[in-house]
Amino acid sequence: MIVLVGAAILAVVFGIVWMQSAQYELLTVGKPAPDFALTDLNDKPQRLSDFRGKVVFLNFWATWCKPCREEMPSMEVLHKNFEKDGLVVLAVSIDRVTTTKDIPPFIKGMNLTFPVLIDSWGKTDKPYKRMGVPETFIIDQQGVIREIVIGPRDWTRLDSLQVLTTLLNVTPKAADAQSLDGGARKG
Amino acid sequence: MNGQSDAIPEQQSPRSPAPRLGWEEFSRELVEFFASIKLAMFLFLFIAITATIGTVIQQNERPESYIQEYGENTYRWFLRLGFIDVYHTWWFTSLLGLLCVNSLTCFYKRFPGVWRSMKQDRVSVSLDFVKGMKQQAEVSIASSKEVVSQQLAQHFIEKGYKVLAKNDPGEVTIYATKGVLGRVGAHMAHLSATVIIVGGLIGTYYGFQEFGVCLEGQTYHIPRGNFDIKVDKFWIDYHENGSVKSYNSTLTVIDGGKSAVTKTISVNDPLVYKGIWFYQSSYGDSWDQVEVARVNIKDKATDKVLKTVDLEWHKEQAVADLDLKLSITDFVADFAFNSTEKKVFSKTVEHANPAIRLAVNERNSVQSTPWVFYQFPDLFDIKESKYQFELVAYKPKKFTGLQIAKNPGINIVWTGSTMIVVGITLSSFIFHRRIWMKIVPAPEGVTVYVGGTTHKSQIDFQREFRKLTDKLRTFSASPV
Amino acid sequence: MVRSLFLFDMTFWLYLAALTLYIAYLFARRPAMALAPAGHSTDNFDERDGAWATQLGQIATLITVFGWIVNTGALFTRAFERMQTSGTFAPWSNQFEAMAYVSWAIILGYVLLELRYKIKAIGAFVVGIGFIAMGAASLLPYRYQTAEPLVPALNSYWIYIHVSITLTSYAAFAMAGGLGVMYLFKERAERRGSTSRFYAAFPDLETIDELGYKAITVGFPLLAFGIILGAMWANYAWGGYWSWDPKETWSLIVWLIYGAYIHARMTRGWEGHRAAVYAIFGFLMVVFCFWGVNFLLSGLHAYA
Repeated sequence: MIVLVGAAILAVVFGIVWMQSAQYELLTVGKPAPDFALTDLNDKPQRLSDFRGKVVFLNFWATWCKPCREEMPSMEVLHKNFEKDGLVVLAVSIDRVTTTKDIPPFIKGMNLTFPVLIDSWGKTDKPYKRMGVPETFIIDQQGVIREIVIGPRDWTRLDSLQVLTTLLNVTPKAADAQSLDGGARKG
Repeated sequence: MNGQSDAIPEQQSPRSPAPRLGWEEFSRELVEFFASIKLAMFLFLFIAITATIGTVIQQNERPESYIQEYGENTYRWFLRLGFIDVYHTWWFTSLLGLLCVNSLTCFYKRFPGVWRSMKQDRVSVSLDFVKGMKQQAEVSIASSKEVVSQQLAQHFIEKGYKVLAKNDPGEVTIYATKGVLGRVGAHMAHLSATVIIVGGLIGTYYGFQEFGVCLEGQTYHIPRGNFDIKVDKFWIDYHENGSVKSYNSTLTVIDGGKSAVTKTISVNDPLVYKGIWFYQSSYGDSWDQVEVARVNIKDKATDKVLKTVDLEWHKEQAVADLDLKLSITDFVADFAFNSTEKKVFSKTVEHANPAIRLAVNERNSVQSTPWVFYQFPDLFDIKESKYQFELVAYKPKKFTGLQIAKNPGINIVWTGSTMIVVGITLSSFIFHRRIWMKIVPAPEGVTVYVGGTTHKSQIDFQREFRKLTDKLRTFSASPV
Repeated sequence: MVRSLFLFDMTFWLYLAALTLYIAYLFARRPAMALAPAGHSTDNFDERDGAWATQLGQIATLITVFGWIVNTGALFTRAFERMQTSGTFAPWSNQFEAMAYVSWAIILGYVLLELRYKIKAIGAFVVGIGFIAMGAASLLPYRYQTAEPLVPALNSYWIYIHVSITLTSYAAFAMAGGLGVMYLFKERAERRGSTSRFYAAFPDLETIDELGYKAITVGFPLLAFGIILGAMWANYAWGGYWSWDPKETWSLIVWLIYGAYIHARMTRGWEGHRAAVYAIFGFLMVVFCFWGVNFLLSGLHAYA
């Protein structure tokens, strides 16, 4: 009888883990982007699903991350140029409670106007299989991931924007993609 | 309960004659103090606490970083107390030394007693002695004392005990003991502490540790060993996902003009020669050499890039259609100019402001050697030239970071380490047990009085003792 | 990697189930029955514990064993996964795996303890610690849970012996910590004159105390050996067997703390209450050495 009860518990545990097992699968292009609910800088709650119908540029960053800092101005350019075409630049900060206070001055100091969400509890860590910052997920209007970019990118370069422009159905003009710092990059 | 359950008192050896009575007492007190457990406990904890300091305060940093983090006042206190390099201060070393004295004194005081009790086993004990033991029992058996003695002796021999028996008129005394090696363990551990610390000191004073930045193809002289080391090759292996798997250097030892040993070293796999060890410690980008540099040749008139060439270090390349010959003669990772010596040098090892020096030979008439800056392409202009040169990209030459070390005390340290592990293991897992039995004739056979004691591990011994008494009860035909 | 994460998750839930059952056992045990004297092996559990408690206790043990088997499977699967992507396959190569291994060792230690002394009351405390270890592991961010290839410094056979032995010593100290907590609970109950069935299920204080001491005497030589193996590895990798980096220093600090404990036991007055508090304190130091050093202090040894 003991063995039966034991086997039953084993089966229940297996069932519980099985039902959640989708969470272990690696997140790849073509999979739906996991939904989340976070607050923005004005303490207003936002969900990823609120932006269904738009192309979402989901970027994970942190105030202590240097490449993120270098990448952000080009993200601001994207935001300014393509917001009218249906692009939402959503920057999710993964700063823990000790550094969340640095977020508003950071945003102000760089004159960034796109929405910023705060994930200080790491709720997006496991669903997005985050390995580091910055990481960018380009999500289409139906909430499906179309591109995953690990690491920073110059989002003003035309070759970075291929997937984005296809989704938004626009042709980027050379004037949109402005080089920001004037220097050549190390090859 | 645990520990001091020695039933046999130690013998005091006679000391020197009366006139030196004061010194005798004092030296006994001294030995007492230095061998004391309380001192050991204090030292263990105090060393632990002071060792914490070195993990919380960064060690061996530049003064500026301390002043920046803690302020000047606190920094001065750190200096005074030696917190900058805690583990090498005189007081920390003294604490370790005191620990040695403590363990050696304990050995001197206690080990002779253990050694003696290992050699002499006290079989003759009184009945009261047996009855007064912590674990004791009384069993009546309907059998003769010869048979019972035989069975008991057999029982203990089978269990690996050393058994001694004494036949007195009217009674038999049996003494069984096991695990005295466990008592030796602690003393071995105490000795080994000193061995390790001595080995460590020898290594610190007579050994050395140096770090060498070495380039592929170069030979370096090792003065302390009187031989040369040549770096034949250096390369990096990568995993599938792009992270570094291993970095390796092929080294050749040249002794007396001849190649003695060649070995490829990598992290965790060093080269040893004449007692000197060469470790693959790190690698990095060289600050004064590049492998390849990519240069754009722009037409000054149209500002269009005419050609892009990849130049190899110190290798002249002819660009035929432009009537141009180029080569890289120098490189600095962080350009700086020493105006007194009129020399260019690299300010730091960081690639903060990289620049190459190009040797330009144009139409065999214009010769110039400008510095071309990665971050400032328009900085220099060659007046007579038709072209403007830009450094677009480069592949730095990697250096291999070798750690060179010798430690003459290391075998002593390993010996001490083995001793301490063996010693502690013996002490933890082998327990010195002693059981006395007195078999006394009784009306219906014999009465067996059993008493036992253990140095450590009471509950296990209780179980064993209970099993013994249970077994005893089975010896008789009719159990009581 | 998916497979091993699945099995680790199952391990977590099974340990939770086992812990719940052991706690239930404590509540179900009949106080009227005479407590089996320490070390006295009894086959008649019904008589000792009462029908309900016996069954709960047996299921608890069974689930613990199941959990341990799944834990073993998870570690093996992770080893297999590592073998396919990098040179070494030690399933204790990052913080997550190390925690899972420590849980495995704690539970193994507990099962052996229960087999020998048949005191199921200890389950709530030791399996409790094992469960907390596994829980902490699953709360780690994703990047600590993956089976990424190792940096060159860790790419060596030394990882099999140095790390495993040191982690096993942590498990022993964790058990002693759990037993220390149990001791304090019982001591407080005795002082208040409690007659609740819950505390009656505990063995006597002397037994709890000695078992805790035993656990530390197992952990102490293992830690000594682990530190020395680490020094040997450092000698092969970094050219010096001791560089006083935070991890090395803290493991030495932990060793000294337990060394003081062992010497203290020979002094009157240091058994019982003080020893229990000390064991808990020592365990907290182990936790700092294991976690704190990796995440709070920087240095050559910060491999999380």
